[in-house]
Amino acid sequence: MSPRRYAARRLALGLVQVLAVVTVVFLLVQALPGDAAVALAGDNPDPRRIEQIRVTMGLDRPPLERFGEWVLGLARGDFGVSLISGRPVVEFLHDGLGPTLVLAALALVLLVPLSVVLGVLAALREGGPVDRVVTTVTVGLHSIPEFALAVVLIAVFGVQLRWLPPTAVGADLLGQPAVLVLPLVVLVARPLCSISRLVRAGMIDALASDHVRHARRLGIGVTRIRFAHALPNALAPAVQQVARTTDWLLGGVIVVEAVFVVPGLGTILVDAVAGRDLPVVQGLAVVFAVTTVVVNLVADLLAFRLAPRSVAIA
Amino acid sequence: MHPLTRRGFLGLTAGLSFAALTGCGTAEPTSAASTPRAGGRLRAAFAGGGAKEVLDPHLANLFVEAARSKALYDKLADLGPDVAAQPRLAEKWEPDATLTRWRITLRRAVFHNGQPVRAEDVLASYARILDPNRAFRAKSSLALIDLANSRAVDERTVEFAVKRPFVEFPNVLAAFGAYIVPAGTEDFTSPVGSGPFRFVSFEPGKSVLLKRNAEYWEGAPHLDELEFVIANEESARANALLGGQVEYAHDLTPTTARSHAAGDRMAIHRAPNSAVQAFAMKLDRPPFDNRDLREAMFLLADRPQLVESVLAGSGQVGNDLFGKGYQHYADDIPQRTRDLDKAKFLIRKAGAEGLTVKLDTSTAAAGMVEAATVFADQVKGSGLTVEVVTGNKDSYWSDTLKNGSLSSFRSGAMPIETHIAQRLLSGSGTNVTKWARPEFDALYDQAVSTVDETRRGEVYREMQRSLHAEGGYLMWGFADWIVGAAPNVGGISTAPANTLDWARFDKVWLG
Amino acid sequence: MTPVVHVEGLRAVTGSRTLVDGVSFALAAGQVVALVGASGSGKTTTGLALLGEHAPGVSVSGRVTVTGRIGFVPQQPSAALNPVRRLGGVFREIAALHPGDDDVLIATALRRARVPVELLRRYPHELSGGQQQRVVLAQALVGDPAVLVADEPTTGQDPITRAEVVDELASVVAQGVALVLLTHDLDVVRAVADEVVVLRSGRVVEAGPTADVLDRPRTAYTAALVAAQPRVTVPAERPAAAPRLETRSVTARHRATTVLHDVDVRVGAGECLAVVGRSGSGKTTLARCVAGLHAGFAGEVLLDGRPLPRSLRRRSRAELAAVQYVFQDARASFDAYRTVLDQVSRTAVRLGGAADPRAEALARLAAVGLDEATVTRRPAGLSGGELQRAALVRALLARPDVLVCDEITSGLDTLTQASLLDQLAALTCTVVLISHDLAVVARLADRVAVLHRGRVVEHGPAGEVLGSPTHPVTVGLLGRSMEGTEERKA
Repeated sequence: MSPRRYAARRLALGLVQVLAVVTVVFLLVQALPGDAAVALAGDNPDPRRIEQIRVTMGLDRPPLERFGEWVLGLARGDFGVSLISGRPVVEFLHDGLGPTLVLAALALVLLVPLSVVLGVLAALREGGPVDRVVTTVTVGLHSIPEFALAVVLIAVFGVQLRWLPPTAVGADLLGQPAVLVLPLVVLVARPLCSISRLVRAGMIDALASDHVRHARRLGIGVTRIRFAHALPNALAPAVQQVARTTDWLLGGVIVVEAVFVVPGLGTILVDAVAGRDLPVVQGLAVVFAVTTVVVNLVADLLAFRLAPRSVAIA
Repeated sequence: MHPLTRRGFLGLTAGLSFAALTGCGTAEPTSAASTPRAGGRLRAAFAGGGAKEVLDPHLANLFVEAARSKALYDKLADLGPDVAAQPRLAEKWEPDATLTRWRITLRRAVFHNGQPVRAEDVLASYARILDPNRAFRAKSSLALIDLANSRAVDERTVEFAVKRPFVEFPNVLAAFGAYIVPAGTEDFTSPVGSGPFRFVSFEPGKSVLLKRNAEYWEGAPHLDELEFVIANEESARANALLGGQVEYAHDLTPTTARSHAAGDRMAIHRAPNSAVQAFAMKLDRPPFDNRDLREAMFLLADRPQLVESVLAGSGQVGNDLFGKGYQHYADDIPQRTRDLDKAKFLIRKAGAEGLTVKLDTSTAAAGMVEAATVFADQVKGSGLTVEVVTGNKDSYWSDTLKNGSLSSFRSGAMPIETHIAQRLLSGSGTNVTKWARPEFDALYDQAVSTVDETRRGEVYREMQRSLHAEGGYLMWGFADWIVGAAPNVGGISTAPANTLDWARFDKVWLG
Repeated sequence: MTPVVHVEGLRAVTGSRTLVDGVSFALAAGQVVALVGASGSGKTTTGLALLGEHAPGVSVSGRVTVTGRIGFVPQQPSAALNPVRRLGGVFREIAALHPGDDDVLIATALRRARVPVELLRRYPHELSGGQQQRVVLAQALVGDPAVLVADEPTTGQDPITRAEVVDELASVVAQGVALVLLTHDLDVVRAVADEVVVLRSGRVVEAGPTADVLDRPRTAYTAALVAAQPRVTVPAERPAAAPRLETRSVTARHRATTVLHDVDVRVGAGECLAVVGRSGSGKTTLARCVAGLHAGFAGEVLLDGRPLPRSLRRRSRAELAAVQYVFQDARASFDAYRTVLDQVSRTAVRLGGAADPRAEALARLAAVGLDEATVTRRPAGLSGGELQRAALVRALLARPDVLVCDEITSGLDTLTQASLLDQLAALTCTVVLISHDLAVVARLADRVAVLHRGRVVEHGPAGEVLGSPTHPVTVGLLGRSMEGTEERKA
C-alpha cells in the first residue's frame, strides 16, 4: 500500500475513533456524580438555586438531545460554548493550546537529540563505564515520579538557590524563557530513559547485523557505518516511542502544568472536569483524540521512511 | 454560602513545603512595610479555574473573582470587620416606619468611563441580577426587593420597596456579588466599574492587569498597578511568593504558614474567624432527635485538640454558635468543654449505649475529613461509636442536605442574621440540621422587624441561647484565613475572608 | 599463470578446537575454485581468512597471499543490504573509497553485474531475490577487485534465480576476476568451478579439477556428497488414492491484493502433494490456508470430505492435531529460552495424548539422529539441520493426517538435506510439500500442483507434470533445474 493511501485510510479510521472517544467521554462525564450546576453552586448550596442554574444552562433537557446537538455543531466546526462562563469552547482550546504546544515542542526538541546521543553513546561503549553511567542516570530519572522531581527541583533551584523562577505564574512563556527550564527538565527526564534505551538496543542490534558487517567488508568508514547505516535502523522503534511521548506531552502533562502553573490544556481539562463543563471537556477530548491520531500517523509514515520494509509488509 | 472551595487536587503538595530548606531564616519584621508608599505593581496569586473565570461581577463565584470584582466595582454596602453591613456607594440608608421602604442616598462616585453612578444604574444592576431567566448568585439575597415598586427618586436617591419588614436590609445590599455596573452593561470583556482600579487587560485562566483609579471616591490606591495571577496549587502559590514571582499569595495552608512564619522571605497574615468548622446533626430523625444525645456530642468534642490537630493551631475554639466576633454574637454564653463522664451519663440516659453513628464527610472543604477522624477518636470510650464515611466531594453538599444523620460542615463568614435565614428557619433552603421550630421562626421575624439595635441584639442572643442548648450544629472551631505576602507589603487587613477589607488592594502598598 | 590467491598451510584454532587444519590452494585470474563441504567443514573460516577476517577468539596461522583487491559477495543478500538505505547512496559511499570518478566506478560495476541504473533509486525490499544478488555482486565489483569470495550465493533461491546467479558469476569470471566459491550446491560447482577443494572438519579431503573430483571421486566422503545431491528423476506412477485433503475454490487475500485465485488441489491418504512455483506465487499462502494460519480466504478446505474451520482458533483439538505445519525457518519456530526436548514433548502432551511424552519424544528424536545430550540444549545449541529435524519430529508427535512442509530443505547442506528427505519419504501420512526445488519435489511427490501468480497452472500426477510439462513456468522451473545437472562451464 502506498503511504498516501495508507494515510487516507488511517485518517478515515481516525474520524471514527474521534467520534467514539467523544461519545465515551460524554457518557463518562454523565456518569460522574454532580453536574455543572452543582459545581457552580459552590459550598452549602440551596437546592432551589441548583435547579435554577440547571434550567438556565439547559441541563434539564435530556442528555441525548444535548449530545446530539453538540455533535451536529461539531460537524459544522462549532465546538459550542462553555456551560459555566459562556465563552466559546474554541477560545479555551486556543488559549490552552499555546502553552502546551510551546512546552511539548521544546521538550521534543531537547528530548530527541539528547536521547539519541545518549543511546548511541551507550551502544558504542556497550558494557563500558559510559554505558553504565548513562543507564544508571536515565533509569534513575525514570524512576522518580515527575511530581516528586518537580517539587525537589523547585525547592532547590527555585526557592533555595533562586537560580530559576520556581513557577511560570503569570509569565509569558516565550518572553521569559527562564520559566521554562524547570518544567522542561521534568518533562524530559522520564521519556529520556525509554527513548535512549530503545536507541541503544536498536543500535546494538544494528551494529551486529549482517548488513553492517557487509558494509564494513565493503570498506565503508566507521563513522559512516555508525551514523548512516546503523543509526537509521536503530531509530525506527524509537520513533514509535517518541510518538507516544508526544501524545503524552500534547495531552497537557497535568502534573507539570499544575505544579509549575502553566495554563495549558491539562489545566483546562482539570478545571473543566471539576466544573463538569461538558462542552469544554468534549472539545478537549476532540483535540486529544485528533492529536493522537495525527501524531501516530506521522510516526508511522516516519517509521515507513526509516524502515520501508516493515510497513510495506504490514 | 460563600465560596470556600479549596482546590483539592494534589493536596499532598500542601504538606510538602520546604521547611527543612528555608526554615533557617530569622524572624525580622521589615520596617519598609510599616509606612505607606505610593507606586509599584503588586502581583497577587489566587486559585482560580480557567473555565469559570469571567469578569462579570454578578457571576463571581471564586475568591479570585470576588477580589477582582472588589477592585473594579463597588456595592452599595459591604461587610465590616464585625461582619455588619457598612455603607459603600450608599452614603446612607433610611427605612420608613414600616421597614418596607428604604431610601438610599448615593455617594458622588464616577465610573471609569467618567459617567456618574446614578440611581438608574443601581436599579438596572439589581434588575439584571433578579432576571428570572438567569441564576446569578445574589439573586436569592435580593429576592426580598420588590423591584417593580422601587424607584429612582432622583439621580442620587433610590427608594427600594421591600416585600416584608426587614431591618437588616443593608445585609442585602452587601450580598455577595451585588455589584453596581453601568446600566445596560452586558459585555464584560473590558469592564467599567466605579472601583479603585481600572481594567487594563485580561488573559483568562492566567492573569488580569488593573491600574490605579486616581479618581476613586475613597481616595486613590497606593499601588500603580495590580495584577491577579492564577495558581491553583497551594504549593505553587507559596513557591511563586518565595521565588519573588508574586508579592501576595492568597489562601495558604497552616502547614505552610507554620514553616515560613520564622523565615524572612514570607510574611504570614492571618484573618481570624474566617470560616467555621462544624459537625451537623439532623434533628428530624434518630438518633439525634434526642436532645440528650446531642448534648452528649457537644460534651465529647475536645475542641482545643481539634483546633490544634486539624487547623494546625491556626484558629480558635468554637462554642457551637456561628459568627464568633461578629455583630450580635452571644459571647456571654459559657464556653463548652469536654466532659466525658457527663457525656457517658447522657448517652446511657438516651439509651444509645453501643450505638454506632455514621459521620459523613468528604474533601469538599478543607479540614473536614481530618476533623471527622479526630472526632471519631475523641468519642471512643463514651459508649457511642462514630464511623467516618468519606463521600464523593462533588455532590457532598446536596447529599448531606438530604441523607444521613451526622455530617461534616464548613462555612465562610456572613452576618449572623443571614446564617439564620439560610439555615435555621423552617423554610430555609439549606437547613442541614433540620432545625424547624415555629417559636424560633417567630423570634427571627421579631428580630428583623426590631428597629432598636440593643433590643434586636437581645432577640438574637435569645435565639442563640436556644441553639446553643438544643441545636444541631457542633461548631468546634473557627479557622484563620491565611495569606502570605512579601515582607515589604503593607496594609494587609486581618478582617475575615469575604468581608470588605479582605483582599482589599486599594489599601495595600509596597514598601 | 601467476596465482592471484595463494593459500598455504592455513590453520584456524579456537580454544581446543581446530576449525581449519592445513588448507592450501592457489587460484589464477579468471579461474574459479569451489570450497565444498557440509556445514562446519571450514569453508566459511577459510573464506574469511582470505578477507583477513576471523571470528572472535579464533587464531589463524599459515600464509594467505592475495594480489590485488578482494571483494566479498555475502550469503543471503536480503540480509546484507541495509533495509533503510536506497541503493544509490550506499553505492556512492563505496565508490568514494576508490580512486577515480564515482559515477564512472558505479556505472562500470553496475554494468558488469548487469544491474539496471534505475534500481539505484530503490530500497532493497523493492528488488527481487535475483536483483538483490546482482546488487551485492555489483557492490563487490566497485573498484575492480582481482578476486571475489562468494559465500553460498545460491542458498534459498528458487531455481530460476539460482540459474541467474550462476550466469552472473560466470560472466564476471569471464571478465578476468578470480572467484572463490563457498558452497554446498554441487550444481553450481559443476556449472562454474574449475577446481574443487572438498573440506571435511577443516581438512582437505580431496582437491582437483571439478570434473575429476565430482565425477570420479577418490574418497568415500566426496562420493557421499555427490550422491546426496538430489536429481530430478521422473517418478513412476502410483495408483490414485481417495482424497484425504482437498481445497475447493480457495481465494485468499492479503489486505487488498488477491494472492490465490480459485485454487483446487487434492491429495490422497499417504500421498505427497508438491506445490511448486516461484517466490511470490502463493505457495506459502495456500499452505497457511490449509493449516488454518490464514483465515482470510473464501472457498473450502476439506479433510476427509469434512470442511475444516478457516481459523486455527476455531479448530478442535483433533482437527489441530490432524494438520501439522513445519516452518521454513526452524529456528524461529522454537522458543529460544526453553530446551528443544521440552518444546518437542509439549506437542506430544497437548495433541498426541502420549502416556510418557518425554520418553516418546526422546525415542523419536533419537530415530532422526538427535541424542539426548543434543536435544536437552536450548535451540541456540543446535544447527539449522538439527532444528529442522526436531521441528519435524515435533509435528509428527501429534500423529497428523496431513503434514505441511514449507521449504524445509532450503538452506541445508546436501548431506543434511538428503537425510531429511529420506525421513520425509518414509512418512505414511499425507504430505503437502511447498518447494521451489524440483529435485526435492521429484524425489518425494506423488502429485504436483504448479502455482503461478496465485493460480494453479498445472496439477496432476508427478510423472505427468514433471515428465511432460505444458505450462511455460513449469518448463522454466524444470528446464533450469535440469540444466544445472549438466556440465556447463563458462
